[in-house]
Amino acid sequence: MPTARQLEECYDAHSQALFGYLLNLTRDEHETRDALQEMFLRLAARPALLDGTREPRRYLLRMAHNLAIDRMRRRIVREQAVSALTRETPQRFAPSPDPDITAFREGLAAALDTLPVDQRAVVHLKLWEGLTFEAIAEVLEIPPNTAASRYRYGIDKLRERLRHLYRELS
Amino acid sequence: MNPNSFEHHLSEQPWRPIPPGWREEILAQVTADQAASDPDTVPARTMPSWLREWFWPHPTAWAALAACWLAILALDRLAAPSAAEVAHARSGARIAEALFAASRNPQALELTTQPVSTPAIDRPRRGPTDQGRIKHPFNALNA
Repeated sequence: MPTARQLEECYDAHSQALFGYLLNLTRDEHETRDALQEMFLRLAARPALLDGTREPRRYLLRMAHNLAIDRMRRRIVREQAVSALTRETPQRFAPSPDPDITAFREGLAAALDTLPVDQRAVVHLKLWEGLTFEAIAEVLEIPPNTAASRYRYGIDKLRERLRHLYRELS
Repeated sequence: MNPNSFEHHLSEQPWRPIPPGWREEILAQVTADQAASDPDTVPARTMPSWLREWFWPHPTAWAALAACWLAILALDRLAAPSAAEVAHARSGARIAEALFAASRNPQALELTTQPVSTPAIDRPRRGPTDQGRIKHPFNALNA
């Protein structure tokens, strides 16, 4: 069983990246928190999970991805029974004092929402985690070509949607 | 729009920082969970790891299911017939089987219901015996 100190180190090293990824996938702060909580409970219960992994971040991202997908499936079923209209999407990007930058980030969040989750995952891992397509393929358990094509589709949609906002900034 | 600069610009947008209170909450929950599942306090931890993982999501539900099966087995044992009842039932079953077999073989039934024809035997006819003519050894002695 990992010590409390090891878990704290793991949290400090990876929680911000996992938070961003989970929030981008789930678009729900409660789901993100619960998924993060579940991840650390699993890590505490099964100390061998990270043993022998050369890239703990990748392993944790894969775990986060699977948890997020599971939770989203359950949420879809739940929301079909209740109502999805009342749900508010949380703020995802850091606030900025510059209104143009804030508008761009809000537009980016809205544009990300329009992407299918598989494209959103690849775009996130490529842009904000800086992973190669091979690494993304490893995390998502898909072929590298699939990861590359999903990225291209996703980034093209973002470019199209953010064209005006980006021009204003640049 | 330069594709590379656009992607670079996107990657520079920082994600909202993780809420600072989560660290304490999550790690405290993990610590509490570890304490609750301490091997000294929970006998289930002595199970093999694969079994524990299998039962992990809902151990209470699995335990309840096992209890139901045990209750069903116990009721089944209590409701089982005694040896005498079993023997009686077996003899009844044998009779029923024999009757069933006979009912499926009507020829055999006909044979049993037809009158039995016995060949006539020629016997010498005798007249009515005269009890007075019976020779008795004592009569002969008396004569």
